[in-house]
Amino acid sequence: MKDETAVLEYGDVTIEARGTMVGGRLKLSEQGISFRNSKTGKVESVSASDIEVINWQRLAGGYGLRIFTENGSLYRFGGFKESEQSKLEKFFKNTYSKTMSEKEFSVKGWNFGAAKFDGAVLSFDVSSMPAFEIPLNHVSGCTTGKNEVTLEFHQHDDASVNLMEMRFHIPASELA
Amino acid sequence: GKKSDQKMRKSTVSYRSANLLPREPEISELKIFVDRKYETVILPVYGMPVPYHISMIKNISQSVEGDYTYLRINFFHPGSNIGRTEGSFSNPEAIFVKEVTYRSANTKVPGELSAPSSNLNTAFRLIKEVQKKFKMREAEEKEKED
Repeated sequence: MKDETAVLEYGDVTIEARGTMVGGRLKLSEQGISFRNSKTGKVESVSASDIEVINWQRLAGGYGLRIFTENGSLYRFGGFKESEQSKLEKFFKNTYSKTMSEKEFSVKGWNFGAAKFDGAVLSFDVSSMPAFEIPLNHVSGCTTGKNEVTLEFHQHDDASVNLMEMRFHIPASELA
Repeated sequence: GKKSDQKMRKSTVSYRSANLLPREPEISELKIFVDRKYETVILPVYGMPVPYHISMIKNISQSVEGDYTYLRINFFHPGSNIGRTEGSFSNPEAIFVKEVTYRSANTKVPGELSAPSSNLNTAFRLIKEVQKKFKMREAEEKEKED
C-alpha cells in the first residue's frame, strides 16, 4: 500500500522541447510521469517501468529533472527550485526504488572534449563531465568532410534563438 | 628540445563552479548571454546554458538573410590557424566544437518590445568587445614577457 504522498504534482514547470522551455503541469505517480503542455494540452508520458536513469541537473536558468528511458529517450523538465531536490529524491526512492543522482555539467568553457552516444542522445564531454547533450531527434542532417562532422538541426520559430548548425573537428586518429 | 611547454596555450577556465554562472533572464530564456566579468559566452544548447571562454573563440560573423539573422561562431581547433602550431593545443587528439550557427527571426512577435534577432545583435557586439579587450591584455602580457 502506498500512502497519498505517492503522487507529486507541479503546476508550473517546463519541458525542454525543440530548444525552448515549454510550460505545463507535471504529475509523478506510481504509474509514471506525465507532462501536460499548458498551451496545447498535449500530454507526454513515460511509464515508470520504462525509466532507466533519473537525474537532478542544472537546466536553463534553474534546476531540472532528467529522465532517461530504457529505449534511449531523454526528457528534461525544468523550473524546479533547489529546495525541491530532496522531496523528489525521496519520491523516486520510495515509489520507483530508484536513486535520483545529481548530474553535473562542465562549466570550464572549453570547446574540446569527447563525443559520446547513449541511446538517442549525443553527449559532449569536457574533462569527463558533459558540457551539453543533444537529443538526436533534433538533428535534421549530418554530413562529414575531411576531419569534420556537421550536424544540422530542425528549425522552430517557437524558440527565439535557434541552434542551426554545429560543426566538429575530428582528429585523424578518431577517423582511422 | 623546444620551449613548447611554455608556448603551450593555457586553457583558461570560465567558471570554477556552477554556482558562479550568472543568473540572467537570457539564460532562463535559452538565449545567448555574454558574461563580461568572466569573459565567457554562454550559448544555449537544447536546454543547457553552455559556457565558452572567449579565448576559445577565433572569430564571429553575422548576416541577415530575408526574415532571419544568423550568428556564426568559429572556435579555435587544430588546423584552424596557419602560424599557430598544433603543439599550441593542450589536447590535439580531442574532438573540438569547431563552429556553431544560431538563427533568429527579425520579425517582432506582437506584444514584444524587440525582435528575437536583437539577442544575436547584442551577442555579436558584446563578443567583439570582450574579444578585443582579451586580445589587448594578451598582447600586453606577451610584451612584458619578451
